[in-house]
Amino acid sequence: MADLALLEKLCRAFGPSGNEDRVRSIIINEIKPYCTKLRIDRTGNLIAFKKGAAVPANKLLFAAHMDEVALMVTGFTESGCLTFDEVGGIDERILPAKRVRIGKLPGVIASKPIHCMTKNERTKPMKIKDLVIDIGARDREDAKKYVKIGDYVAFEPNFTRFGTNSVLSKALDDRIGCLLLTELLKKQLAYDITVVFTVQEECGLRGSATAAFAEQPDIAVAVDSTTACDIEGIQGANVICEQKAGAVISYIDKATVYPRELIDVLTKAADREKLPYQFKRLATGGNDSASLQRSAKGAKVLSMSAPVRYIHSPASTANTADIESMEKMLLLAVNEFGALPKERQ
Amino acid sequence: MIDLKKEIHRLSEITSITSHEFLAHGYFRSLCEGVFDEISTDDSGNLIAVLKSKRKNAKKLMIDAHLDEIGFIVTEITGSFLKLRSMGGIADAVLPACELVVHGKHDIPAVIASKPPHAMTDADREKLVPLSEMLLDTGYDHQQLIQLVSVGDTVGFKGGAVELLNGRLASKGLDDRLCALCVISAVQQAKETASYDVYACFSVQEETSSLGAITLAYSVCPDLAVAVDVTHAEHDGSKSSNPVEMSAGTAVSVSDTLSLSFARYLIGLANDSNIPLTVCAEPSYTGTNAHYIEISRAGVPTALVSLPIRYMHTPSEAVALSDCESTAQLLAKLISDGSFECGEVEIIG
Repeated sequence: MADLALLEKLCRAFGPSGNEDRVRSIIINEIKPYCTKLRIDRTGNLIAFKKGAAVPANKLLFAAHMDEVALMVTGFTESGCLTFDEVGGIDERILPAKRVRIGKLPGVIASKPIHCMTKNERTKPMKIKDLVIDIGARDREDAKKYVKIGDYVAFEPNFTRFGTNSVLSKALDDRIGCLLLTELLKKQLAYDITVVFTVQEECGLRGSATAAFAEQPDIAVAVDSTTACDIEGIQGANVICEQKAGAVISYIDKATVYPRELIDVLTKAADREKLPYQFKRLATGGNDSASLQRSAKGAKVLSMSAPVRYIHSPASTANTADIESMEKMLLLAVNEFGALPKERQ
Repeated sequence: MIDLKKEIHRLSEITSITSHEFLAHGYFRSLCEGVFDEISTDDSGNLIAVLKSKRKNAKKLMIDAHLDEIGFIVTEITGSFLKLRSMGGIADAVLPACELVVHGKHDIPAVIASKPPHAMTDADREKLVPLSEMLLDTGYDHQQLIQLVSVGDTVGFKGGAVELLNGRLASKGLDDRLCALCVISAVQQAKETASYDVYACFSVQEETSSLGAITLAYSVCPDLAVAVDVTHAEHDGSKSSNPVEMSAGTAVSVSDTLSLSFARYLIGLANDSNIPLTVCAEPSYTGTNAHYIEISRAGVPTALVSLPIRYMHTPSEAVALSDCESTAQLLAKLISDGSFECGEVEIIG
């Protein structure tokens, strides 16, 4: 069973890109007793090394990012509201009337009442540059007492278990990955592994670049979340991936072309173990794999993602069955990739 | 006395979507007990609480606040998703990735599905998906869903109020249930000094037809009436034609559709008692129950007292507690004062 209490704690934490401290503290508390070595690098990545039963021929690294998509305060209006821009990619159409937190301070994204909209406005999406956050300030000077330009804004902390086995939160991307790698470190492992909880993934796969440079892995696995669009009316490749169908393995996305070898090794083992998995059907998105693949001497990479609906919104959802099968898939990856011989000595 | 802040948090967790106002009756009834002399319901589903004046032959003052909030109704179960239509006006813009609660066999958390950008054409991006094409995701599969949800079940915004700066709060469903709280607070304040028999009318279906106010005005047959409803408080980009400032007190409307003398009397009452107030010009149509009460039977002098709120009809309606207090104070003053002359004037007997 996935530790949903820990997932909730991770999801509720405030952790926009570049401001991952709180998420990192939660993870440190969890993994400290299980690590052989543990450090925070200069970029803010949390890097853990765990001794396994054997030293693998290829150095294994697993990465999950701690940051979440968010907003940042860019200015003040005369009436005391905050202008803002996105941190990471947000679909601006989901913003109106949503609740946010500027650190601990609550706010509401202002939305023009339907009664005051023109016919045209009722059918057009709002643009981020036309939206403001209301914190209840009386005017510009009042707002400045509580908020500074550059302050981070995250969606209101939330975590709901719903449906049969579903969970909903603002930050499933990629606290699911953080949960899975935290759990992996707690297990007895067949091989040594390095685990990196990265910073700044959402703003350009940045933390993973410095971590991979320092660690120089031979094989690196990015554990992330990806868009599931298995909703009515979407067909073919546009579905991308489905919930309750297991880990999503990518051949290609917008940032990386993945080496076939690792995919074959892992999926063959998964077939043997009757573990569900699926292939990503559309070359969208990108994750830490891209940086892991090209840092220093380079590494062979694999991307393993949880299928998440409504990703990058305050209400993304995941199915716990997928999280559980990914937990097993990761153990399999340690065993299979650990057993691979060293190439080109 | 009612602690309005505490009650806003409680109210936020209560659902009473148009036609399902009875779901809030228990809550409001318990607040009315000990304040009013009689509490009853009628065939329309209205909740009526009466305070008898200690004066003989007191006139009847009707104070209306509607108990229904905007929401949705399930129209179709399609695969593992639900389709909805709205009860009351809700902008499509606030719905993508919005958390809702389906009031099925039990309360079911759900989220409005939003198409991710990759699945959209450039033309799609320029327009909002209308509610009729949106899907509600409950996390259940079809077989489970049909056991738990029926077409016709109501669906509301997720509850939970949040406290902003300067005594302001945001919540779903403040329109107009918070005004009902203000009415109860006013009657509490004026209980011993009431000049009128006060009929607090917590009416149904304002958001769709004003049904409740129409039947109530007939059955109560008041000498004068006040509708208490929310009005748009100014904010960046609000562009309301008759904006009212937030944290500047209560509001009284001047409209050709309502009693001018009653509005002037209330404005004078507020000024004399130092109750902060804004006058709101609403020619032609106020969009409230006052519109219907004014012309009930042979006519009822009716005023519209408004509580300014921002982001009306969204999951995050925002209000200032001080404005609630001013609204309750003005109503309390009206109940006690009793000097407004209403009634027919006979010229030749």
